[in-house]
Amino acid sequence: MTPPLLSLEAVSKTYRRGPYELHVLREVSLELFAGEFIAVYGQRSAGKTTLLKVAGGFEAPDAGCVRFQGRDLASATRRRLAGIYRAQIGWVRRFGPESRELRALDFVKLPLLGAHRLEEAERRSLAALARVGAEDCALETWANLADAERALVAIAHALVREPALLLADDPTAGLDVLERERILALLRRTADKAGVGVLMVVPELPAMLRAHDVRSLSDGRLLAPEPPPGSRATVIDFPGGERSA
Amino acid sequence: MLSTKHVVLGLVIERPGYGYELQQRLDRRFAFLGLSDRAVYRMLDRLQRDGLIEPAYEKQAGRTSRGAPRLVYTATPAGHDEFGRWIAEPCEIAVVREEVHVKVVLSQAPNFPRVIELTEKLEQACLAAMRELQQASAPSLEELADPAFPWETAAVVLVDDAEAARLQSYIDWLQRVRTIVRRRMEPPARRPRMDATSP
Repeated sequence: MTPPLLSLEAVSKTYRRGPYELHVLREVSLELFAGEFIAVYGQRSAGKTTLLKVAGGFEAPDAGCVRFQGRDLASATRRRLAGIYRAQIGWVRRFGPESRELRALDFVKLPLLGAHRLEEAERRSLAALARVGAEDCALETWANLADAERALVAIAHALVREPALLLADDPTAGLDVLERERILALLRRTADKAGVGVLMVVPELPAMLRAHDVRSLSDGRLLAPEPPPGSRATVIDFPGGERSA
Repeated sequence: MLSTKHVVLGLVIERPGYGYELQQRLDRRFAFLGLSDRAVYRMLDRLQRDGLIEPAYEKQAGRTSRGAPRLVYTATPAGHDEFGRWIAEPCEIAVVREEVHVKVVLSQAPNFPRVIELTEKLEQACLAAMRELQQASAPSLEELADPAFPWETAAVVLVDDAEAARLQSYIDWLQRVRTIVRRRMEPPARRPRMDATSP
């Protein structure tokens, strides 16, 4: 069996606030495989963003171990970590570039500069925008984009280096229900078709219907599905029985 | 109380069929109703007696194992009217008072760790129900609004959406119970101020 792309093993993270300790993550364990899309539900302040930062190696856990492609991120050198981020991990930056006057194409292109010649970077960026269905936005500035377009461009920015892992922090915030579905279907396709592991945190359960698997986070604890003993099907199946397929 | 009679009538209206086929369809799509095989046949008899459906022998439906031609049921105009009346009739909105509420109300401090255990198990059951709803190739909401898209599939997606929203409110409540119970269990000195909870 192939090892997981990402694994968190009994990861804990505590923030200090004056005399108080906030246990944001308590012995959290999670495995994500290539091509898998896992959604984590958490209310406001549940520690969703911290979970993603620790999962991506952007913050070190106080205890426990985070492995990416089998390697312990905590023991990786800074140089090696930088290499992993650059090539392997895409973070969906919902809030976009620092400068709102930057064009979508240039924002998507940023991660490629230095690694590719300008024309090649431009070609790949246009392809990434086309993949998410936002090619029409290429020449618009971030300030001029609608919320749904920004969400798509942010995903293109995260995918342009063809990472193995995509981390998405509430990527559908502020979108209406049709726009939300478009983004979630795109994340699902990214996992199914491109084999990318997708870890998404969201503050609403209906946004998780397109994921392969679900978790919930509260009081620092991550819970996994566990059907009660003797439970029977409660769902209404599709006319052709597609759900069980 | 859900009217089994109208569920079976609805299946016949959706697509005419013979007894066994209707029973299979009911089983596959509404397994959670837990209706027995015989219930379907009983309802077909009753619907026919009430003049809401009528049987006809149809060659296309093939033959039974004993070689007899199959009876295919179709809804009568009266059946369509009755079904329409049932659809518009207000149905029960359950005020949920479940076992868990009684357990929480009766718990005292010595049982708080058990309450935490209970709420975690229920939350895991909600997640399992959520996972049951996951759909690989569900239609987009844009497709759902398209009149050409089959309603019987669109409606299932809408019911899933309602179920996910209901599970969320349940999970939120379980988490709130846990937060409050945990706070009450902590010694006062370690309790963070309420304004210091955001990480």
